[in-house]
Amino acid sequence: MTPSSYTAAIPIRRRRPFPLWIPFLFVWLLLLPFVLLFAPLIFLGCLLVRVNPFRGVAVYWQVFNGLRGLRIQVDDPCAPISIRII
Amino acid sequence: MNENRKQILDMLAAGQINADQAERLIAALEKEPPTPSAGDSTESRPKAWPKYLRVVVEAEEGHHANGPAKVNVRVPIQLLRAGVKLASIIPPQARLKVNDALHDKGVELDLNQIKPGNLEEVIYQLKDLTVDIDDKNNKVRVFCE
Repeated sequence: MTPSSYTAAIPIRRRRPFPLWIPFLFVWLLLLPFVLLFAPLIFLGCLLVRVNPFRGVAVYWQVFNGLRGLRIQVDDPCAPISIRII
Repeated sequence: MNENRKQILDMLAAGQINADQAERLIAALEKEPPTPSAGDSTESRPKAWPKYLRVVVEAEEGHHANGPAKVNVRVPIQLLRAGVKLASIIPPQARLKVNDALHDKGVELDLNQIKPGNLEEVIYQLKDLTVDIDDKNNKVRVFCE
């Protein structure tokens, strides 16, 4: 299943961690024009390195889908970090 | 009488299916392996495939001046599977370079030998994996769940 959102709380310059929630749908909408723009280049690049472009895209898609459920949590008094992909 | 079989006979009696269809459904039921009942012991059931690889690190207060620290990482096994597939699309020239670099670092790993089929076996064995490291100040646990 495709991940739906990314949640992170990372402190910047020793300040209190700022919670960040990014829905992937929003990211897709932002990236879509760039993907369409660079698709021919990606296709050519794959052919240059002798990789089936469709297989390449499928594998990267599987990697992205595999991220669902990833959780990194660091409970450190100095730098508490929390990253979750749901 | 088996619940499914009774349901098929009821459907036949209600005229929803004909005798031929009922016979085929019953034959299909008989081919199905028996489902484990609630009373079965957990030992007889095969263990579920692991879903996540967990790494838990606990550093005690004495080691860190600011208090105890804890690291909790949960990596989906699906990501490992996809990672191996990713390795399979690395161009042959790059794969050779990676193999050479690994060899130089003392890691005897051949990327050509890593195949998704082999990985399934590794993942299945991972369900019993537990690595416990108890240091004076730190505890590290690696396991699958």
